[in-house]
Amino acid sequence: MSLLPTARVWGNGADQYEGPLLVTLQLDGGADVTQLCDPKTNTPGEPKINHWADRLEIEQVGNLQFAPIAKNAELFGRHGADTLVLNGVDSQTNSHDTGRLYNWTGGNAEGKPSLAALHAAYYAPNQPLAYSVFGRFSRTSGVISYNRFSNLQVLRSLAQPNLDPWSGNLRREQIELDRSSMLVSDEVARLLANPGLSMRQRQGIARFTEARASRDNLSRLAEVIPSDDGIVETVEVAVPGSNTLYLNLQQQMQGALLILKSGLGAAAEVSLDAFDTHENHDLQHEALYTHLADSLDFFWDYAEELGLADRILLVIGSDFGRTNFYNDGNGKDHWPIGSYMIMEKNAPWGNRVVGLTDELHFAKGINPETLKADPNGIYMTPSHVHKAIQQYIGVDMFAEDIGHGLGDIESLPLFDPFKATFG
Amino acid sequence: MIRASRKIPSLAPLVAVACLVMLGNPALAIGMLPAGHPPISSTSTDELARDSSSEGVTEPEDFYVDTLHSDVQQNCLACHRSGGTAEQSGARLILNDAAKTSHNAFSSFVGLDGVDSEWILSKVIGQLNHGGGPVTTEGSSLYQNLAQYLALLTGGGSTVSGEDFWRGTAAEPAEVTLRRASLLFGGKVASADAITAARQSEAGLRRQILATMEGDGFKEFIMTGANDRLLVSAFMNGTGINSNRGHYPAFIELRSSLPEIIPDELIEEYRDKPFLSRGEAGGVMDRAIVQEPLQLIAHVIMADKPYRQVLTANYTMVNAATDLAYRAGAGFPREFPRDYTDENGFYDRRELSEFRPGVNIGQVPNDEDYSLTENDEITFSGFQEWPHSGILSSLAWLQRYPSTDTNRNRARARWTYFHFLGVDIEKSAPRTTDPVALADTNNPTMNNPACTVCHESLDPVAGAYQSFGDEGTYLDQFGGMDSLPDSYKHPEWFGGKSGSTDYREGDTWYRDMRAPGFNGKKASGKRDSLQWLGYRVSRDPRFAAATVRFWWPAIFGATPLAAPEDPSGPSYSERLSAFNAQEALVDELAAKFEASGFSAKSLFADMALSKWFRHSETLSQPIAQARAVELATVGGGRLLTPEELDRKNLAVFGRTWRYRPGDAHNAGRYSALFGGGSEFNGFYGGIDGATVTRRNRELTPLMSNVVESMATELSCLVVAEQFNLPASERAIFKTIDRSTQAGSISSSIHSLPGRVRMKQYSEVVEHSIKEEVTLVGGRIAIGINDLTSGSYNSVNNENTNADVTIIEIVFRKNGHVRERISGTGLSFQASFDYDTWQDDDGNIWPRGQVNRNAGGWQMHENAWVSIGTSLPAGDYEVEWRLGTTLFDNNVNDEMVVQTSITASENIDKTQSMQLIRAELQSLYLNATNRPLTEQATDKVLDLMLEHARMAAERSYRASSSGQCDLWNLGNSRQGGGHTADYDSDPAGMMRAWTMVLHSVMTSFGYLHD
Repeated sequence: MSLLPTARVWGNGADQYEGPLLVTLQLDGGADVTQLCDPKTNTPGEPKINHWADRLEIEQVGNLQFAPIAKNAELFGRHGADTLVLNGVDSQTNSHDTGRLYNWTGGNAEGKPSLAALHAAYYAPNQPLAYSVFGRFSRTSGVISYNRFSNLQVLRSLAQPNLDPWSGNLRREQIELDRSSMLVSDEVARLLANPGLSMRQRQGIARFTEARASRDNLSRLAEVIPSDDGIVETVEVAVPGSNTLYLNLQQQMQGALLILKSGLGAAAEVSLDAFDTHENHDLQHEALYTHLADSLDFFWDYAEELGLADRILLVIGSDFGRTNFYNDGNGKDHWPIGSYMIMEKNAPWGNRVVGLTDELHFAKGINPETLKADPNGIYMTPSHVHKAIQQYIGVDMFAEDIGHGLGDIESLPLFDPFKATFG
Repeated sequence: MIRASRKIPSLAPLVAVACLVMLGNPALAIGMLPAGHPPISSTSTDELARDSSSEGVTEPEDFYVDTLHSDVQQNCLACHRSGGTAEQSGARLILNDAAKTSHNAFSSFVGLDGVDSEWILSKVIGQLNHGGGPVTTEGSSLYQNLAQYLALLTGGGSTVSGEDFWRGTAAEPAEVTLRRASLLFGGKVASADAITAARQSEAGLRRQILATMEGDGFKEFIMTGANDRLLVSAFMNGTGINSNRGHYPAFIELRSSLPEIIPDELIEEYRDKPFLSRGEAGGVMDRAIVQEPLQLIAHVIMADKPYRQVLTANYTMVNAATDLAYRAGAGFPREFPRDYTDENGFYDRRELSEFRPGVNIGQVPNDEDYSLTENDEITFSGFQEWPHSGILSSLAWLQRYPSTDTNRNRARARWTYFHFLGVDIEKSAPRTTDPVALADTNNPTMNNPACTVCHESLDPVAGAYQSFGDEGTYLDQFGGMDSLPDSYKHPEWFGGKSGSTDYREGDTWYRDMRAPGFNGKKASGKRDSLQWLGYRVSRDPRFAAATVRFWWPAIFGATPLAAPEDPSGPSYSERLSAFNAQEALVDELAAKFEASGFSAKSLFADMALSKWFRHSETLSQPIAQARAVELATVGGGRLLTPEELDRKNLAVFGRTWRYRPGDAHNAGRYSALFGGGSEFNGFYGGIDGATVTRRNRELTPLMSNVVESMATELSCLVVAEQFNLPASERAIFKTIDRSTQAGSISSSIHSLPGRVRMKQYSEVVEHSIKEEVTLVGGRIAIGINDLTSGSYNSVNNENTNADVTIIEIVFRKNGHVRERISGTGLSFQASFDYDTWQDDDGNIWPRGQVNRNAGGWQMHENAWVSIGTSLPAGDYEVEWRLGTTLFDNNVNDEMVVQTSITASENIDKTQSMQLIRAELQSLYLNATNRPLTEQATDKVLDLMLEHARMAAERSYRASSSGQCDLWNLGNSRQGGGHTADYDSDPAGMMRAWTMVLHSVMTSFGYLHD
């Protein structure tokens, strides 16, 4: 049976995956990092960049500076030692679509897989839920397929589709299921014996066959998904002067972690929406950042409870940043300069900042060797970030092999504990 | 010498370039063939030049004027004009509207330092740092015409792709195309007559495809396909809509006439019907408004009106409720709510499913005369007339892309370009990172080339939406004269400097933005600028191709391919080849669409007749295999979407998963895969329009479990339901019934009336049943099965009885008895089989015994027997002499018995076996569009009959697994006696069919088109 030249679908996934895990968190819409990890106060003679700076000073935990709003102090106080902050990352776009693409694939043209897809394709190509998508973004480029999830309760029933959820009995007799399956396999054999079958059909049959072969292992999910009472609910957050936000990030995180716990997957994407604050910027961002801090606590606590915390790399990013001034509607518009936050339990490279911006949040150059400020240095882009992460998680050579490498991009020692712009 | 397009040198990624220039030109738009121009074939430019020569177009100037200039005007002039963005950015090619002048410009341009044909052709597809990004693609007519022109101009030749993309592929048979199209468009299995007609000719096939485009199924196809693009379903999935109800006096009057909430004494009735309270009235209006754009598209297409009307219609679509609120005068025969509610105020949402064209003249402005009290007392100055411009002016479209004081309708403009002009501004315009440009505060979108390149095109279109406020309301600002925000008109109210605004009394658009317009022309005339825009866009040459792309996913099951941007990426040349072939087809389809007078039905038929749809077969497998990337989305074989699978379930099996027909609360049908609350739609790759907007079109293990779950629940229900329906109403099993088994010679159900007094166990009412049968020779099995429902139920709570006694069975041939089987002698017959029961100790006992007083073998309630014998082939009369002992306190006044004769030898000769075989083949053909070969049929039959035999050997009820959730059949179920319907399966055939249906529902052929 033939597949796309680069396609990797799934194998039988008989063994639980126990390797490194990757979770990416997209702050969707363009997050204002000057109100988070790249804080800016106002500059005399320039438009106001942050209202909070009228009354508050930048705060710092260890080497990490942060804006003194929302629950940032709690966030960096608890997680700062495990966090690498990358500031002044230039996404070179104000377009949401291009920004998402660049920040999560490392390329601003279509065609590359997302970081999570790459990780899954390398570490767990045979697992049926290798790459799970809870948010909006997904790019596979044929290296792996993705699974999208919407509801944990339904997911539990899908894990064992032939069982009656009430009695636990088989809803169809086993012999009936077996014979039915035999007829399905016979049909596939008949189709493949036809030399006139189109490529689309052949590729479809390959996915179909492998999907069926892998589904038995999904029953592992049923073992880890809690009862309805144990499933995290959507959080309602009232934003003064705006709508109520219904945020399900924590349910996404729970689902992602449970799938990783089941050993059926290696990478997941989650997202927190509503950062595109062209109006009512401060109040909405503050509400979202408060929820982000709570959710990161939840994430790491739950990961610890499931015994996964030691294996997870969490990468947080956005489309881009927001303008260094307020618009007429008290909002902020699109701005290409943003940040990433990368977290890992007991990371030796935590409590560091790489990259910098000036007082008006323009990116500044850094030396590619020392990572210190350097007017003649390079401007960090998502490509640099991806290359460094790929090297750190060990998928860079794999990416090159399958034609999705970042070969010409400079390698920055972002994960070298002894090099940093700050720290 | 112009090189082949696939040999374009590897260049820096396009996106790094396009940031310098924005959409002054229609980037990514595809030029149309000039009227009357023959289709462009995949030949070399040399050949094209010869073709041109033969047509008498040999001079480059003539060729330019006749063939190329209109495309150049459309695609290049916006930037490459005097003073335009291109010139500002240093470009040397300056054109204008005069064809000869532009030709001269090209003549001079070619030959400048570093400029040759290859250089120009690279530029137009976005290479070599072209500031305007990709203007067209290699497959387009513009590209090919330009290549030919440059070849003529330079005296050289061209090697523009002459490769035949379709080599090694072939069209599927007309029958298969029609079957696919019928399911896709109409949600129906193609009829035998239609297939016969389609086989006659291509024209016949086209007619039959067009004939599928009608009815509710076609409307579902349209609305699902349109929503995939417009995403207005977001409003039904968590995104709220503000319909500005307080500004519709007719609605306020309606609302004030309604009860605040449902009265307590009526709450019980709410389960059956919704109550029209004040709050409910708001929901009624919102639901109608959300549907407007999709209903309008459906109306235009189904009535076969020119598709341009989706942008130009001077009406919207209203139901009876919005007809009232809008004062639309749509002509509904009944008055809302009076004729839609019962005496208690309940109504049926299905009755609001009808939409008709109507206008919105029911809104009142927010001015000094306007007031609305808590008691719904409203005052107002007068009504506004909503300037309808097809879906562009619909509140759902406008609110799906809400604006802000700074966005200023640009999102609406972006999606107008995307959906109706085929221009993806975002993709073509990543922004500059030049710090100077970023720091520019001197109105950069007007003045800074880094920004103007996009905004030159984007902002006039945004301006054309000037009459509509941030949430889409017409003239929403105080005074009802404009939709400009106070932050612009009165900056001093928001902390700005007094007098710092450019606003002047009477303005309707921002003075610091470009004026409303499109394509370099300012909006003018008496109509609203959005109506002006809708007309202009619908007349733009790009509209037809954009429409092809709009409907591409719905018909081809894949997102239109994007031009590959990174020459160093994997399979670049293959992806480029596929993209070019796609674009050539888009051009071709667009030309036909235009020629048809913009008939969407005609376009859909052409798409279904195109090679992209029909080339599902390969002539040379190795070549096709080597072209896996190029052919990845060509032909049949795409995974059905959840909605398509749902429609197919209904078409093939007459029922879908967790099917519920519309009811008073739910206007439309819904199921596990379709409609509101479809719990598995998202897991099967569906979208909600809000957070999930891209379909997952590749089967995953989890999705495989979705269909497994579906088949587990649905297959037995289909079997039970279909066999319960009259044969004429069935989707499957039209020629067989539940008892038809392999070798079945006769099977019939008989009512046996008559009762006896209580406790008279030996008293019988005798019955004689005679029938003619044709035996095939050899051994036969004679069966009798008591099907009486509620046999143990009495009318007086005392014990009752309902037994059947087999007195004798007689076979006669030509009036002579050939076989007589006595009931009293059955227990001595070796081939006698009977129903059994098991006691607490595990002992097995027969459910019946010889009762000489009753005259034969007396069966317990609902028991069965089977008797074997052997007779030569021939016609016989068989007489069944039976007795019934039905006590007069039983709830029944008659018993129901099934008699059957089944061949155990020479089974293939029996008519039943031939019917089962035909049924199986019909089932596979309808479900998979492929015929089941005789060999494959034999194999399926063998397994099916083995399963039936095995199933027949044990009592169905004894098994804790394999229960069928018959309650799911609910109200749509025909007939009664659910348990007996499925569980009474002595021959095991219902379970065998269930097994087969399960396999079909989870098969590749069923799940893919």
